[in-house]
Amino acid sequence: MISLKIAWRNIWRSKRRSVLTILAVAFSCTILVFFLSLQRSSWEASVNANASIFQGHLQVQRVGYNEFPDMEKLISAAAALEAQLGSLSGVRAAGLRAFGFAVVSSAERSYGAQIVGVEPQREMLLSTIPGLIKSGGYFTPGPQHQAVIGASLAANLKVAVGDELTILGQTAQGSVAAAILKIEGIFDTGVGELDRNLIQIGLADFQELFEMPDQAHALVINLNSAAALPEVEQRIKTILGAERDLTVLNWEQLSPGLKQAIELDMSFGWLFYTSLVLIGTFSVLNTFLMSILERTREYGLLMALGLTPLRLLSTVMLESALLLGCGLLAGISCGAALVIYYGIKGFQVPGSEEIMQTFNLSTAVHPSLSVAALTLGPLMILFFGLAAALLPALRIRKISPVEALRAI
Amino acid sequence: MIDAQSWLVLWKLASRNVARNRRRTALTTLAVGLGVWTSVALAAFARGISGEMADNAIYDLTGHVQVHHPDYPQDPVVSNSIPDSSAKIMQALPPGVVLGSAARVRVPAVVRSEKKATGVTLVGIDPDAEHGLSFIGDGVISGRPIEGPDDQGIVIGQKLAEHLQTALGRRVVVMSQDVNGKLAERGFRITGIFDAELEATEKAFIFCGRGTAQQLLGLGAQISEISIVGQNRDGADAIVNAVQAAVPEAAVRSWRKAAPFADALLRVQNAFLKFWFLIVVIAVSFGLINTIFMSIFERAREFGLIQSLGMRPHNVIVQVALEAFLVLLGGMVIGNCGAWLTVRALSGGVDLSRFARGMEMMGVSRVVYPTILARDIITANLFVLVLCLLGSLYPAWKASRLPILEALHRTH
Repeated sequence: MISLKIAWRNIWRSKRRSVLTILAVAFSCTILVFFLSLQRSSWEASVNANASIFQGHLQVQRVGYNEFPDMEKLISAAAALEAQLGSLSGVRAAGLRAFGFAVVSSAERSYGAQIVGVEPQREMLLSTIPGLIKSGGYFTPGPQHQAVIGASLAANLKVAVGDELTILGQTAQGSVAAAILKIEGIFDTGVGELDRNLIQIGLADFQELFEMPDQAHALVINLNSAAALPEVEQRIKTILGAERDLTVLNWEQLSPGLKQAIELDMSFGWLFYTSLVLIGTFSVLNTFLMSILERTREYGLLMALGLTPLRLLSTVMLESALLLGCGLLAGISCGAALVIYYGIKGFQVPGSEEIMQTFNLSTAVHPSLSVAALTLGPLMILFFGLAAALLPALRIRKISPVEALRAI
Repeated sequence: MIDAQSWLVLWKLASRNVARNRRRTALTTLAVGLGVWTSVALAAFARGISGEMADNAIYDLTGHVQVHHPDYPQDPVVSNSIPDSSAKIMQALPPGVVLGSAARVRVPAVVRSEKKATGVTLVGIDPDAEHGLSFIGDGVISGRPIEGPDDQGIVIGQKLAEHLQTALGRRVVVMSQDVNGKLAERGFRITGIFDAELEATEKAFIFCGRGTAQQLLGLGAQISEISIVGQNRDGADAIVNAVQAAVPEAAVRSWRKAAPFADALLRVQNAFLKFWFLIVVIAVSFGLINTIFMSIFERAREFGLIQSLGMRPHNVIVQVALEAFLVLLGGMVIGNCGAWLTVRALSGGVDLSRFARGMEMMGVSRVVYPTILARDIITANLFVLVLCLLGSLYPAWKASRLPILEALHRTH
């Protein structure tokens, strides 16, 4: 207790120096807390956006379909599987999709496009596309051969809602799949690849057209909360067992590029953060060293009075720890305040619109507080800071009281 | 205000003071050096990634400057074609400004093997013109490359070949719309397979002779685009102006418009790096200011003495600032040398295969070559020098205002 008192008083003996040191620590700490929160939130946003636009949280596919999507890699007895997995607890919705490629022609133009068979009612809970219709509607119950297509594709084909499209594809067996579709709606996701490439039709139409009754390529599953993902994934794995030749894929497996882009960003971020912490450490190292050197006489006196070097050392370390602690507390508070402020207001990196769109992100990031972002940076600073304090403090062991008393 | 002789005295005082406490000076210099070193080295790494991304985008059949039919950028179809005005454009440009230009037919198409079909972009090229301009001019190829504008074969990417489950020597059918809106269809033998830096590129493009494409699509001598490559990215805007003057009826745009993602990333990176330099400088300056304060207070007696001997307060400020300047200079030398050595040591490239697919997503290949840009060195050093000197004025000003008599009475 007395050590604590002495340490605290020592800190305020030279007010300016201590304040500057605390500010230095607080500054680095603020930057680390805020940037880490921002980074984490933008990853989370990109993972969520990626899942919610079209991909879903989990997908069940035939083994190998994800790597090489061949028409004939099908899920059979699809409706039964859908009913079974859709009723699992934690699952918000499960819906089947089938994919094919076709040449799509309007009166004037022809393009190659991806045809997706969907179940409209379930799709509303699986993907944001039904909500991103910019003209027309998202399938009306009843009539066959309706299509909903991407905005860029519609522009390229020079078609509008109500126009007809001819599609010409190939079934898994190699025979011709041809149909005339009526455009029911046009969606605009802002994601070039989807808007340029995608035509959705009813799953029943798709199965008839491509001759694959009760079959599909993917069972897309959305959960009530992303937190339940590992648990649900495990349960589905158990249900699928080994014999059915089916596999369940999570977002990391479905979008390995996104996962690695995040890892790359994280590694990069840590390079920057580490360099900042090292610079900060060097700055305070000098201060710690000076404050010990200028008190040589005092230490000599204390030792002459019977204080052991170990006790002195611990007082000095306590002093440094207190300084660091004040700085970290201030830094965490400032960082958290920034996070909360921008969490409400949204943080926009100037000029980043195109980048955000390419990665399916809204242009403003809303950072949120997390234990990791609040503690990882400060812990790193604390570790390096204490190391910086220990280095000069070890000099105390070498102090001889007689000589130290003569020093000025 | 300060004559030459005073400068000399102040300089002497400052340099000797800096040399007095070696350990302290060394530590401060190292802190500054570390700041400059990490700033410049990290910037070089970031520039390596973004520069490569932009160059990959440009090498990906984009070029520095593109000439199109005014409607082609929004609606890239066969009917939005232009006559081949390459010769006219090359004449309008001063010699040495551009490396070359390539006229291409470039239209959406569908390619079908026995097993599968997919949408691609069919590009009709004159292989001689592509050399050094785009990856297809130098791409690694099994089989043989397109050998002339009238080559009857087709060259497709490695990934596309896998996807279509076809191979060298097999046949594929290419379908596209001709100028009359009819579906033109033709069988090609795969004569070559290319291997590009990015898988997306391998899946996106198929190549045939330009004349062959013109014949298939009924284009006559018309083409879709002219791509021009200059000496470097920054020269593109000047070329755009010259080319636009030569072909006023066409749409001329630079890579910044043609590859907006790369351009946006470069701009965001510029802003971020400046911001980061600022953060580093602030972190460094805290330590520097603190150290200067300590060195001043332990010399309080001295400052009192020389001032009572007639030194003016503003000279005290200059002396302390000079001391800071010397330390900063030392730190900058260490930092820049350190950064240069780091980049030199990594000049063989940093292998980021672990993140290959993430890099692919950003359009970067797996090996990154750190690049030091003059502007980063200048910005980082300028920030350190100017901001830290400004910071040092605070303790310097305090030093000039120490109470003289009290200072003289102090024993330590």
